[in-house]
Amino acid sequence: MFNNLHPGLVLILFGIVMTAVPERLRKVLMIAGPLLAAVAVFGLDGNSILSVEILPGITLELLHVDDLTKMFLIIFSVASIIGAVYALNSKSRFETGFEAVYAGSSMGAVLAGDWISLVIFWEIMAVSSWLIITSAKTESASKAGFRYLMIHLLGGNMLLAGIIIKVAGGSMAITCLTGTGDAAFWLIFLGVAVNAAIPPLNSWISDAYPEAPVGGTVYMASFTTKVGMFYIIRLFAGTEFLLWVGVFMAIYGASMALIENDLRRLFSYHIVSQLGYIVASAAVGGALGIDGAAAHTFNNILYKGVLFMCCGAVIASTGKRRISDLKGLYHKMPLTAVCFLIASLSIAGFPLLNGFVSKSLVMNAMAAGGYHIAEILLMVASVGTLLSIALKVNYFVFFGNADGESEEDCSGKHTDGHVNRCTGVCTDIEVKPVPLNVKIALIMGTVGCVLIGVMPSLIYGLTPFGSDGHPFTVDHVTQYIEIFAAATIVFVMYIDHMAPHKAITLDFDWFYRKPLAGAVRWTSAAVSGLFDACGTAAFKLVTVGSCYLHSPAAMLENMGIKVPRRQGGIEDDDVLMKPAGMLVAINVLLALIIVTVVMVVLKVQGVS
Amino acid sequence: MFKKKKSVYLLLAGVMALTVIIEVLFAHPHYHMLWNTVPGFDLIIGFAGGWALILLAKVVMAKILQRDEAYYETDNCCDSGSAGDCEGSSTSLRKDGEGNV
Repeated sequence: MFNNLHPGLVLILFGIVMTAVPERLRKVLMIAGPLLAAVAVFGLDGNSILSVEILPGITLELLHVDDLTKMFLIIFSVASIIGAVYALNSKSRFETGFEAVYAGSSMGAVLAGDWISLVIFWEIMAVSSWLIITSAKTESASKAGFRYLMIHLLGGNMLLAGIIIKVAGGSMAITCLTGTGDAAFWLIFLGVAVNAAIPPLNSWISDAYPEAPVGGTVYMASFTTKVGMFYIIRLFAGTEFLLWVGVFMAIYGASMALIENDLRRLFSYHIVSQLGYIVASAAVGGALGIDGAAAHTFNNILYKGVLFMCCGAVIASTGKRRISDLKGLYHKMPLTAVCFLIASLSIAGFPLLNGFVSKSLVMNAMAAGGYHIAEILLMVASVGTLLSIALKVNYFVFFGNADGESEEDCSGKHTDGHVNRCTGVCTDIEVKPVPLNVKIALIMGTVGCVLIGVMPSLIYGLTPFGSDGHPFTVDHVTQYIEIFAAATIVFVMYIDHMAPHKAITLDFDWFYRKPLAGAVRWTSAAVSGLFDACGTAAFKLVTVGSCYLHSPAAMLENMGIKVPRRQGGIEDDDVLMKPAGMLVAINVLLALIIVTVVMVVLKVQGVS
Repeated sequence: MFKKKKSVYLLLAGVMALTVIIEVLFAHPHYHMLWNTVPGFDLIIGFAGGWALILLAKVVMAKILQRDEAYYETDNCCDSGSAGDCEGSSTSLRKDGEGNV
């Protein structure tokens, strides 16, 4: 019955309707849409077809279903349902509507069977996610949204340019590009690299995600980059240079997270870090590499979703988003704290949690492929993940530091000049209760992390090649416990240096927020000034010229040439003749400009 | 949580010793690189990796990359100055809609 039902179009339709219906009906649709999409996903198989002829000879294939697609669609459905439950309290019909459109377009991009369908859903995804960001309705969200849209439109245009080359070459179907290395390869790669957050095209994550509404961030963390990963796997699996790109991303993201203070920016860097594992695994290619990349993407959506949901719960309950403003929240938000602890250990790869299961596949892919340096460096990145999320955030936000003081609360209230030695009033953070729907969403995500962690076959069975990572061997488990124990010792040793302080961390977005923005402003001012100067000069020229040109007879008489003419004629009336003189002057000026341009063009052509 | 550092160190040392013993007795590595075969080698990766990352992030990257929180809100003319010094100019820029892109 649902064999040919497009889950993405279902969600897009529900999303559009949600922007226009009353709140109660909208809440029903928020849950019904993802559920119907999930039903449609389970109905899809290799025989599913949905073709639309848009022009004679150009047919869009909207349903291309294989094992990789199915795996991504399953986790996208799960993320949509959890995200909808989490955002159920949102009062903004536009935010929730755009979230459904965004999730639907992501599914559409994954399901696309031809290049044109891909670019259509790709652009819908960019615009709908931008609308989610701007629905926060703050000045910073508006600016970050603008930057987000610019960089994604740039990526979309590169993708489109590559696709035009492909389609012009007669290839409509999406095919693997590994090894081609032509212009289409690089253009499509750059387009996908924006969504895949490959440095230096990564900073839109840490720039825009913290500014979006909390529910919107949960959605965004689940889709854009994961669609990017889908196309890294589908188009570029086995592209070797991506291995080192992935390793760099893993370490870079973890290092940036170590110094970050803003919770959502910190998690944004962890998105980059985790994407690094996926890119590296896809770069290794083969059954193990592709399965590792797919499984890690799947798990990443789950634990990253829980982390962002916990983070959103903390921000909504406390009104604070910086680690330096938070402390000891375990006592006020125990469920959130426990879910966060589990998800943070999961992202770090702790045994019996889902991150461990898929990291085992990724590491096996590295070892089997003979990429031993990359393997070691990815292990070091795991240490960074442990330090910056599982230890740093858990300690400073939830479990430790309960009787310490945050800098902001205490500023000005201590008498001895030491920030951490204040006493008296500033002992507590006001925490609003976490809504029931948020708790349910948190539990759903966390249960998913644990279930896959203890039953790895759940995920291994979904991978395209069905590879088994053998995660529970003694050497594997002891390896991770040893790494974690040793890294925890380092954390305890340097605990005084681990506390983040109020500062922002510059990223690659600095290049377009400072020098590029300055260059744009400078160029704009220079061009504007040049136009003004040209206008003033032209006006002066025309005014002066018109004095002579409005009465050619008078001009000749001034030059001493006698001209026979009727006295008191119309040509002696300045009011009537000055405009005519202006017109003549303008025409002369234009003629001069045209002649000059033509001569320059002829000269240039003559030279070439 | 980490107030009694000694207890934490002891606990972790116990965990590490136990895992190394288990590794020696029961592990059958699938791969044969140094870190797969030498029991306890992963302790070095965890410790040295963690130390190197903290050094990289907290000493090198923080010094190069971290700025005042109002860094992007200030006008280009006062990048290096404090936010307060150029509050007026940045406000007027925002009102004119010509703030940083």
